[in-house]
Amino acid sequence: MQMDSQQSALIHRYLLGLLSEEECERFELAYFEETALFLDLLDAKEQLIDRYLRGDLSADDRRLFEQQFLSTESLRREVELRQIARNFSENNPGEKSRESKPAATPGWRDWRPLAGLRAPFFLPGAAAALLLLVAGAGLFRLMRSPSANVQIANSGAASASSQPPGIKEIELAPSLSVRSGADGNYLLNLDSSVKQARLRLRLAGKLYSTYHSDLVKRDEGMRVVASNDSLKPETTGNAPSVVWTLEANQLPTGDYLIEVQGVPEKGERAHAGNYDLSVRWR
Amino acid sequence: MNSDHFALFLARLHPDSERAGEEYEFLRLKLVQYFQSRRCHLSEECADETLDRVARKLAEGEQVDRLLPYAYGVAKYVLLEYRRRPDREPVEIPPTLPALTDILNEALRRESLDCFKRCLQKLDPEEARLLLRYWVHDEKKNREARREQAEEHGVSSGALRLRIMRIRARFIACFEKCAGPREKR
Repeated sequence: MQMDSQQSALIHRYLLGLLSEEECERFELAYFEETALFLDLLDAKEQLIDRYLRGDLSADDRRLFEQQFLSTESLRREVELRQIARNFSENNPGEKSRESKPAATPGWRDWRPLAGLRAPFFLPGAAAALLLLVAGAGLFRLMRSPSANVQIANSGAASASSQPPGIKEIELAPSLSVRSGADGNYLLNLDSSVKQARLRLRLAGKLYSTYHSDLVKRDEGMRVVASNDSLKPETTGNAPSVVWTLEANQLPTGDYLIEVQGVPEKGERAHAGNYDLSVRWR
Repeated sequence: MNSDHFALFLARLHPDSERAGEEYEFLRLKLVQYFQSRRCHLSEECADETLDRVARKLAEGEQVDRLLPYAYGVAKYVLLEYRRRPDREPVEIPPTLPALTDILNEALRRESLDCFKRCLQKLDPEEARLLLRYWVHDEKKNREARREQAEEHGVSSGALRLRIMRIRARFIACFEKCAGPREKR
């Protein structure tokens, strides 16, 4: 049975909280009595989550979706789990081909994040996952929140404990906003015990075999204070990244912009990401 | 809900015990959906409270002609009471909503991915495949994907949905235990 467009629109409006109280109650009563309608509702709900994660919702629907879905713990968890599952599946293309026929040795049991990714870095699944990130970044570029940064910065700090003494590592995701400033930047705290800072810059979009990077000091008229044109992508973490190691004394207290460009074999370098970083010396 | 109340409840849902069990699970899912859509932060607890009350009323001999609309009516009362609770989470939209970037970052965290993998491994391989396919499928619409899955397993889409929901509940319990409650991550 195909869901008619009127019903589909009704479900869509219900999920986004657009029905009047009376319409809402009528619809709820209907799905309590009719399980087929309830199954349609569940399907539509999952489809809406998928569209949100793909960045396919209009600006209005996206806002309504976030009000309805992300303000409730259990719904937000569902959205997150679907995204994790997508990442997982993209990193396990072999699993996808086996999914309809039970296999003796399930591929996911051997899973390591992006373990199979090798030069020339065009694993289709991983590329699709990255495109998803880029699409999300483009559509939601004003939505970058400091709390997200803190999470990643903390994970970078946590990994620093396993680093050789004197080296501090921080992981940065590309900024989603053209506008930048100290608010919401990744924070790198340095002290005299730190000799080198390793900036792990997560990559998004098309992968190149080499990257060029500039470190720009925002509070000094956007002056380029360091450059590196031979960064190589690594794929041992949760996502491909380049690691740029800087001497700590190259990073005085201040706000920085890191610009990363992919270096193609021919032609001009291509923008690959901007990263905002604040450095504080203690 | 004691076993007598539960048996009475099931008997009212369907004469066939297997079908009655399915109807019960669906009713619970509908209740959870209802409470979620009303931004109740304790949707599962409120759903269970509703079921308890309905079962109790049936055991007390209350005349209930149509059980499902009756359960819906009880759910509305439970929601009202939830909203009056002094310790409840605010229903109002919080000023700062998590954004897609947060979701993507959360999904990329090594801890999340590790826990995801670990909890999948705890499932039976067939269950893990079923759950993964439930969450991720090709560009097909969910409904079509689910119908195909149900056909492959020789069950109705409803029965398949319930099976997936059971697996998902176990998976989430494992994931939460592994990664900790989301707000503490």
